Amino acid sequence: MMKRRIFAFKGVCRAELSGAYPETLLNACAMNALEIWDMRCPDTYTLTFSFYERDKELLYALARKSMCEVTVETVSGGSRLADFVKRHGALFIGFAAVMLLLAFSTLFIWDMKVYGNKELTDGEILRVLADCGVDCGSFWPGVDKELLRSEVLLKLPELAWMTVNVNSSRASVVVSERIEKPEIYVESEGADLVAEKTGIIKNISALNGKVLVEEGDSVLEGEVLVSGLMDSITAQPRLVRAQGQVMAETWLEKHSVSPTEQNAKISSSGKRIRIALKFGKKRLNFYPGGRKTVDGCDKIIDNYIIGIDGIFALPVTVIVEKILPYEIQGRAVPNTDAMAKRLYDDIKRQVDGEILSHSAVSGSREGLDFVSLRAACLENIAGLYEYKTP
Amino acid sequence: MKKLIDRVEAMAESMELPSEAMLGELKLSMVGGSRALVENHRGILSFEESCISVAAKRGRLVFRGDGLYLAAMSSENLMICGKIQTVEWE
Repeated sequence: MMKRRIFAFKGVCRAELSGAYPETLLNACAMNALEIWDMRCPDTYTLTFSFYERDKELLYALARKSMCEVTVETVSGGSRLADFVKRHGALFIGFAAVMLLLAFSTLFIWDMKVYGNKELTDGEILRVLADCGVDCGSFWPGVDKELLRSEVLLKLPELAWMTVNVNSSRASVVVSERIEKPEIYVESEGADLVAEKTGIIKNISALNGKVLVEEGDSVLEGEVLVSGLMDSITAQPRLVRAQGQVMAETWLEKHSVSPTEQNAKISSSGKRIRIALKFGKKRLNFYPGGRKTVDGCDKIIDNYIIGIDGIFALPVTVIVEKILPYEIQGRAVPNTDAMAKRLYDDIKRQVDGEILSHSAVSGSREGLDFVSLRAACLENIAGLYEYKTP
Repeated sequence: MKKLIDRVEAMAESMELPSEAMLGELKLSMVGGSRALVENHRGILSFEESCISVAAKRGRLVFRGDGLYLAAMSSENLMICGKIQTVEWE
């Protein structure tokens, strides 16, 4: 492989040598340090061999002295390559410029992605990074990772750790969010379990404390279910932290009101596509009228960064904007079922247990739809009430 | 002159010095029957596919075989490739 590259760069000729005594020329070449190789003998008076193109004149001179005739059969690389480069000079210059630009652009960040975040959004993290000087177009060899980490963690206390890995213009921001500390309480400080809702008790599972109610009892909101004040036969009453689960049947009622006639978006004709290019932070629009928001239209924007994912990214982004016109029309929507479904989902989210049964009542009056949902639930109504220490 | 050369040769032999380095004697190294490196040659005397004759300081070396060719050649070294069947010193 290496040999072929050297041959292509230097230029190699394959020649045929004929004469009465062709060996003289071979000896003359060896004496004059003219490199020849791959000498073959098709017949008694003919030889074929290879030599570097640069030695052509010297070989001709030696052939004249040796009374031989040299005919060059093929030429590869060397001057032919140079001629090709001369003919397609602009192409080569352009290619070299692109390669140079590519090499230079890898020193800058052109694409950023955030990994490992759950609570914080990508935008929040990227905005803080931008405040700390790391943004698209930043010169990444000048970024001090330790300093950046300290600054970001100071500005985002929700993060426990972060780092920025740059690989050919693509910055991967890897974060680890802080796990919240659990609530720490003192065992000796007493607490009651009180009813958070009114209901009929169905089941009690007390782990700690004195149970004050029984299954089948009706309790009101705020009533103590399990007391943290424990009697002692041998000593004074002691305080404990009541723990347990009190399942009770409760009733919830929710109401919803919505206009019978609602505005809805109807797609209309006139869909347009606008294209823009972004070089670093500079944007070049290929459409008239600027980027101002068009009324009565939805705008969907897609960004395509030029590059190969995971290998490199160029500072060029193709932005495709789809403008989708719409008309707003008021129309009657039978939405009582949807409203009832939303109310049911709302109750389900709110209840710490299950919904046993439910019933919905709906109606319309004066352009409004009404829905009332009543649900019987089985849920844990025990809430912790800590004793206030003076 | 011949006496002087003989003396130098005898001295090199007594001192166990390589004669190819001291006196420029021909040295032949072969790799199997397909490749031969000839050092300190004095030129090609004849070149054919079946026979290559190489001049040495004293005498000549004749390679016989099939499809013989010169892979490379410089003023001192020579690489002969092909199916070498016999090597004769004449």
